Amino acid sequence: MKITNHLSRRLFIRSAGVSLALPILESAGFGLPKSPETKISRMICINTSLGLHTPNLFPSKTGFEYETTPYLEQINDFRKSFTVFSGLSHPEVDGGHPTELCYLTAAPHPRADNFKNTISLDQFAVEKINPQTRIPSLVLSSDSSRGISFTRGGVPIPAESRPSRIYREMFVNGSPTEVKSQLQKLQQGQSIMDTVLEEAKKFQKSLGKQDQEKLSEYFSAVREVEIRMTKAQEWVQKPKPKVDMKPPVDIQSSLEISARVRLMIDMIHLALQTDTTRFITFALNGLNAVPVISGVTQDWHNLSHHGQDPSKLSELRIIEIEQMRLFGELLKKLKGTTENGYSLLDSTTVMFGSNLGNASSHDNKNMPIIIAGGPFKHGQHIAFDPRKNPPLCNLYVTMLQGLGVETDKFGSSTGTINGLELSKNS
Amino acid sequence: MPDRNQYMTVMACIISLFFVGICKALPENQANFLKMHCGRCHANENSKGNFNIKSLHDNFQDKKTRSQWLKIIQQIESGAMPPNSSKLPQEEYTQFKCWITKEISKAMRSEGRVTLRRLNRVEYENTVRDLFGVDVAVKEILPEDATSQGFDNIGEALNISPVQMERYLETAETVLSAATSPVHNLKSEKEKFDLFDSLPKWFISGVYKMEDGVVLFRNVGDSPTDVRRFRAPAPGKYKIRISASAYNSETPLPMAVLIGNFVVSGNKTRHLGYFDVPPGKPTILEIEERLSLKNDTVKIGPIGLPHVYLRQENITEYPGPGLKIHWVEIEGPYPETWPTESYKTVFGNIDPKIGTIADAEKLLTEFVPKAFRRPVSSEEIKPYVQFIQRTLDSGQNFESAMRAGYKAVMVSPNFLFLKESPGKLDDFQIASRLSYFLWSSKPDEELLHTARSGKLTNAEILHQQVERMLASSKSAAFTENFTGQWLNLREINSTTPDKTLYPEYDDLLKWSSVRETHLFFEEMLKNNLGARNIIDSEFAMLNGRLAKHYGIPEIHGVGFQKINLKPEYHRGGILTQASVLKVTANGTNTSPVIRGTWIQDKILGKPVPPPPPNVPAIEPDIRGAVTIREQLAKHREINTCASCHARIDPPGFALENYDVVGGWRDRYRIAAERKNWVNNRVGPLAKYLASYQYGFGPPVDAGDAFENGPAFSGIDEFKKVLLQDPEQIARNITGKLLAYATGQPVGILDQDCVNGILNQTKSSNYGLRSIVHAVVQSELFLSK
Repeated sequence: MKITNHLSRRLFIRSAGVSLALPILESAGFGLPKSPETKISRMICINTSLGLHTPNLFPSKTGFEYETTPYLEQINDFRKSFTVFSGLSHPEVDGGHPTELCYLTAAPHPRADNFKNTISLDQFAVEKINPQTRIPSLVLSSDSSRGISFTRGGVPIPAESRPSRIYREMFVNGSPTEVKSQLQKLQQGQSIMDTVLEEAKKFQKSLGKQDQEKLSEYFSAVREVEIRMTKAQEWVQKPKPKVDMKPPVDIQSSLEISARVRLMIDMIHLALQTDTTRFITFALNGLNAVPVISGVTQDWHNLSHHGQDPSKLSELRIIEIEQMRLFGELLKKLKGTTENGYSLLDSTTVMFGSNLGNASSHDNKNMPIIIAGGPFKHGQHIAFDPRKNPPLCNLYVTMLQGLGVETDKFGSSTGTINGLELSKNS
Repeated sequence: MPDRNQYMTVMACIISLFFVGICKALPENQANFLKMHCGRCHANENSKGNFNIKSLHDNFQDKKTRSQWLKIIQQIESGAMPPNSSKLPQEEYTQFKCWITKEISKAMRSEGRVTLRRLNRVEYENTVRDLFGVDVAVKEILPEDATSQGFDNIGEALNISPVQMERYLETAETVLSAATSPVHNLKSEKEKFDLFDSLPKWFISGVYKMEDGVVLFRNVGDSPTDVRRFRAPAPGKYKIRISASAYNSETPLPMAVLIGNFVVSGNKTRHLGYFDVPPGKPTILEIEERLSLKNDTVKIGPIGLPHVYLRQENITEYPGPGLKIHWVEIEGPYPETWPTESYKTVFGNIDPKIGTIADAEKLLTEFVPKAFRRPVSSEEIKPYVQFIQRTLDSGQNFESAMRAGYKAVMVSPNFLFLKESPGKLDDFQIASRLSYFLWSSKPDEELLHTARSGKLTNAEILHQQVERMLASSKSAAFTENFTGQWLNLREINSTTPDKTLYPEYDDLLKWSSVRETHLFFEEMLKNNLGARNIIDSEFAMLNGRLAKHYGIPEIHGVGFQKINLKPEYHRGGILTQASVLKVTANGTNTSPVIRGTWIQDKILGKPVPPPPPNVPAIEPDIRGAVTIREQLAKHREINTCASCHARIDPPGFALENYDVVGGWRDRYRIAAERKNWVNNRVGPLAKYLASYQYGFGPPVDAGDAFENGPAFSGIDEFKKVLLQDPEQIARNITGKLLAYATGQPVGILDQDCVNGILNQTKSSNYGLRSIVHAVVQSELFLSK
């Protein structure tokens, strides 16, 4: 698939003030041929950090005729739009919770002293596709700045957990004076970066090897910020898209997990709908506390270590069903939004899964993975050997290819994934 | 043992056949040692533990190589490897180890042991506070810092991403705006308020309106008891006077005072503290405070009162305690002087409307050395002056260009990083290290002055400076940040105790518990108390709320006092403080595994290794096991688990008598049916009280036995065993202090230094203040 430049044209239409009525995508697509080439590639990757109890998720039958399960039942309306995978994992990514760092990177042994992470799937795609959107990618979390995206150098990208801030960045236009000062600030920022880059070169001179490595992070951050500021200068002069939703009020309590995730889903949906960004990661971080969900009385993390205790399993199931429902809400929103005759779900590959295959024993094999939407033919349960998992990165390569990235390798991949094919009209 | 030697020789020969050509870069003795003791499992394609001795080489300049070699020592010293470690010939091993440490030390000489580190966000916030005299919540803008071994000031872990860099620009902007923000020119006014007039209708049915004030019975948390009739006309300094008395109480009652805008949701509120309100004649509390936003006001309320149901009809006869607020008087905003001190640090006495590039240079010459924490040549200032010139040339005015110049300084690596050169640190590098150690902030003028005079390397002067810095109020940052991370106290908010099981838990208890640990640490530091106090002490720092929580009678008020403990209280030391007992539990129950791991790591300095990679995970099945002890016993039946859990579980069990909020328990609290609820509705308040909704489960058994050691029946005996080895406790705290002070965890190579500190401080029974001094005077602290 070729990346077309119709977007900049679309944005030109928008910024010229022609037809700003919602839905924006419909209007922005005005007059463009409805050929497959105009379909944009997007991706959302979600990790739920305390796992999913896979006996409630994985069907026993494989293929298209699989029986539904308590968790899949929650998203059964979209049965033809998703594929559930069992028997996948990242080789040598072990050690329980820290593997959330490797969910999208597949870097081995996150617990090792000399662990160094690598680029995450979303950032890799952004690098290759270089989408001309206001925001290159959104890195989100349900709380804290602990996210799942990493730069090429393996440095964590801090996640944003406040919807109000995301909203402001995406949709709140400044006054003409503010825009002017914003522009000035960006230009100034660029020259600041130039100045400190020279400073850093002098600073580097007397450093040992180890310290130089540390400072290289500084260098790449400065260079990256310069590039971003150049792009941002173009964007700041274009009006931001208008949306119906009022600015959200952040939910302060981290225990209100459903409300928090729901608000974030709204942001994700709006971000894609307005084409403000095309790549989003979302860390749905579990809690060491009792989430506010009816029927749940025990600490979530504690419940995930259920040790087969039936009372714990039943409460855990409530929490996980809630998550599946929220995932369903996201799918519904994407499916319900159309663009050039396609639904947003058709253009967006959505991954929902967990770095933990079995949270109770901190096992990282047999990860729960669901892929929805995008250019794929869905509707199956694709199962692999639970004792000999092929690399999850094989699926990542297939996803990348589906996005239009020309690559046959990512992370620990050994090829592409068997069984997931492109749908006919992609 | 001739048999064994023969066997080994044969083995060595056999193994050697497979080893032709490997390890050849290594000296023969070391290569042989590896072949002999590791080769059987770690020399082929499918080497165990993902470790293959063939991949080892002697390029010690390479960090990864160094860590591989160190790992070998670690594995051997922890007894994990080789499997039959008793057979390892000590002399050979000593030689082997000696060679490794020598090679690594040699290689590291050109690098230093500490990785270049940047300021973390706490240090950044304090640094700009001290530079500009502004209080800006930088922590809200900058991303969280990564930690290593529990500390967030470790160079290796502190990354810089593009987002981080963008946020630095944003932060600098915010700081400069705060420093130069205009001040109001309003006239100060004084007004007295009756709190009752501010209360919303729905709330007044639960208060007692009296002639001379209003009595509040509901705790401050979600009560709308802010003085709504008052709204700050402008940000500025105000005087708040509150007249209050304790109603229906013989002892003082705590009053909470907060500041903020309590109507706009999402606005941050600030806790000013808890104050004692005695019964009888009204007490007048006077507070001078900055209200930082327009429309801010003050909120007042009781805390720690029993949870009762009251109606207007019965409120006059209710015999329980309440907080009576007679009136609140607010005066302000006080007149401000212009320019402010903060403004002057930015623009000096230069009028930004007519400033020139010469003025800019003058301002920077003043500012940059402070920001870089060392003398700065005019050559170094030049690029910033040139940058300001370019900005002026692009058409921006002086004020804007000057601000841009400051921003550039504040994102420069010289500001963000603590630059240290390999070998001995120079005076200014010592000054910065010391200052970020004891103040979490930049050196002050006196410290820089001492550095300039070149005397900081003088042991006596250094000692004096440490004394001076510890005496400063800024050293509260040391207590807070060090204990916050060493003991995980920063996680006090990360779990919320289950309201049904722990209805007694409230914000005052949470605040008091953290305060207790801070004060305890400060008491140890102030009086140079021995490390043994970490395990057990004859005193505790308590206030009324904590004393009640601990079941210690006759102590009232929110102020802390040093209390002598009796054995039946089962308190003393840090292990049994409510703060650490809470952070080592989740909101519903306690786990000996978590607490045991915590004690091994934080108190005994023997961290339990994570489950080794590639060990197949075993699914615990605890069905049928009722108590935590039975669950863990099942766990320990599994061999792979047992090897570590035999070490982890016993110390965890020793704390089993303490519940998730640090209260003493003989029986577990459980969710129960109504008929089995404990009856708290007794005494004169019985008919008003809300019922506790939990019951009692099985009795607690806090006994276990040390791995290959003595048995204990509970916490008291457990502590006695630990106290037999005070050196280990001192060793641990020394290691933690060294890691925090230098920004690098302490490794095998640093053990000589640690031993030196222990030798020096033994005569003071490892007094905490002596250890801090010895850390500062140590080779590790004074070199990179």
